[in-house]
Amino acid sequence: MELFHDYIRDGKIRLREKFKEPTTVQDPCNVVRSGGLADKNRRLAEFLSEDFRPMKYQGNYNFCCGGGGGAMPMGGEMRKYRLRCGKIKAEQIRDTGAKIVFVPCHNCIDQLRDLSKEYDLGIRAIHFKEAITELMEIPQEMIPEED
Amino acid sequence: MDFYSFLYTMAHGPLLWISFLTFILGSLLRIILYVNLSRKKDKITHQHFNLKYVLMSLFRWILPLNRTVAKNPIFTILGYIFHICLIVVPIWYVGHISLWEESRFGWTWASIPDEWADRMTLVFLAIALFFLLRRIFSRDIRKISTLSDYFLLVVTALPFMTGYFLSHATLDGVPFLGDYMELIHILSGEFMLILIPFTKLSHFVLFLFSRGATAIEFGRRGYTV
Amino acid sequence: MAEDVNSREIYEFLKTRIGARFRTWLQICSHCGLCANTCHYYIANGNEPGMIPSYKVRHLLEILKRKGRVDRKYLETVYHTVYHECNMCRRCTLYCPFGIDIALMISLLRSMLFSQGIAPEGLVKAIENYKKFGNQMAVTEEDWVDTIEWCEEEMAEELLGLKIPIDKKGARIMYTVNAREPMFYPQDIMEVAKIFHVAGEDWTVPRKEGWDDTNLAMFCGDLKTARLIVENTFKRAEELEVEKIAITE
Repeated sequence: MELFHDYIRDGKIRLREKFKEPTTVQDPCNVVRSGGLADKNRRLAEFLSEDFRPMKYQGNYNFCCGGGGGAMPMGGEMRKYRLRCGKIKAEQIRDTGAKIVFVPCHNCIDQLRDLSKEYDLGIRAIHFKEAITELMEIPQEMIPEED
Repeated sequence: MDFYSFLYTMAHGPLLWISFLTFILGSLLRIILYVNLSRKKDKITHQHFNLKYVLMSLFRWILPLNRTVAKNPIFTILGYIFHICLIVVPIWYVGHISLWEESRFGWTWASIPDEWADRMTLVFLAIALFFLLRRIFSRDIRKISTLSDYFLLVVTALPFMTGYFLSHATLDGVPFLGDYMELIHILSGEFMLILIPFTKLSHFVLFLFSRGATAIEFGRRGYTV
Repeated sequence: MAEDVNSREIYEFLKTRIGARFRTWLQICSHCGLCANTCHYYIANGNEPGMIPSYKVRHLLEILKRKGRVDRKYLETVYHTVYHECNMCRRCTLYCPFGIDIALMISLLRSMLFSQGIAPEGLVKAIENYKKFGNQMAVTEEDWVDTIEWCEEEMAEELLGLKIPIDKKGARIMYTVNAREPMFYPQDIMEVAKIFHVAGEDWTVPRKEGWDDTNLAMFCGDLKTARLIVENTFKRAEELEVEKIAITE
């Protein structure tokens, strides 16, 4: 994530366009609170969006999605608990009105996709890499010739 | 000499020494034990030690400049006032200073006006009562309270209450209490001083270390907590 | 799973790991309750007092007081608290006036449970896989390399000259993934390859164990395996003489 941020900041990756739909970004506990990447996380999301809407408590003080600390890989036994405590995250996202949520964490993204179903959020939760590949400009010489 | 005058002499002499020395040496000992143990077992704190983050964090918390204040303004502001009164009144109350002056040390320093001391004591007691009621009636706080939480709150409030009664002669008409208020006041203060190093009240100094350690833990990730 | 509880072992385990911070936290916590409304479990469960972070770590003090003499049933209560009621997200830590790190204490309780053979099945399975295959999803080295090569072929059709270099010595960046990617989300690997290619990055992925950057052992307190996982990754990075390690997302 840090690397992607730097690519775009330094112009190594150019974007064709930005997302027009409202977006927001999840702060994964291990990346942000315990990883110290709050600013870059937010800035990368801003690079990619025309209408970025921060969550209440965006950054180091954000809520956990409920999928962390091993909760996702614990499978069935944890499902009930994590869906319930994820209510907070679901409401946070709903309050922003975002349609796209960037999620730089495999745990969080699975949880957020579950939450979207459970609480009917109608969001698209995507990794930054998916977002970047969707938006980036491909240099002419790399595009294969059409036959 | 009857029992009470014996107790009175003790409270003014040896017990006073014992309580102050227990408080000072006990607190020093707690600091030494902390540093010693942390050198052995909290290597991470020492590897990443960074005074900048420690000081910034302490600054944010000794003054009400942190997120918790914004989140729970009423309770935290009361908490700050409670602690300010707790420290200011006993140290700068004119009656206490004159005792220091009369003592073998002969120390003296500027005092706060009497009415300030009065008002601060009443504010302190009101907040202490609020904390006590909160502990009893708030579903949340009752759940996490232990017996010692109630006990120590009373221990802390007692010297202030008796001090107020003493200086205003409130209960002088009451048998026993009226006669021995000074003794009760001194003993309750001494009792509190003795308990500080051995209970959660030791947070008055260990707070600095606990905050510092956590400030380093997050400071090495690049931000102040 | 061990059937019985070894009190002495529990007590020794905790005692050797409790430093000045833990000891102080357990004593100076004033039970002020400011951590309550910082916890998503507490709020999402209708402000349930039993979910106050400060309350959750009562077990640690209790076990120490009893010198480890607790029964299996008690440990199951602890299990419920430390796994089903906490993500170790550390939000309460930031809001605590004393900076008491509840998550670290929960983590210690998890390690203690692990030492008594109590851990969530899902995590235990992942750890076994890691020990055997070098990743949590039991992907063999052959499958891993096949997946990478397949991704490379797919993407080369879209972007000219795209390569996913395996074990390239001296690359600037060694890229590691979540083991779920080769199993379920190969498009993640393709996307990253595309980004690296367009950015002109000098990168590589390791062939041997170390490419899985998830550390589930850490979550259930299996510190030995957790360390092994980190060491594997760093060993690969040293062998390949890379400048940096990038992890997925």
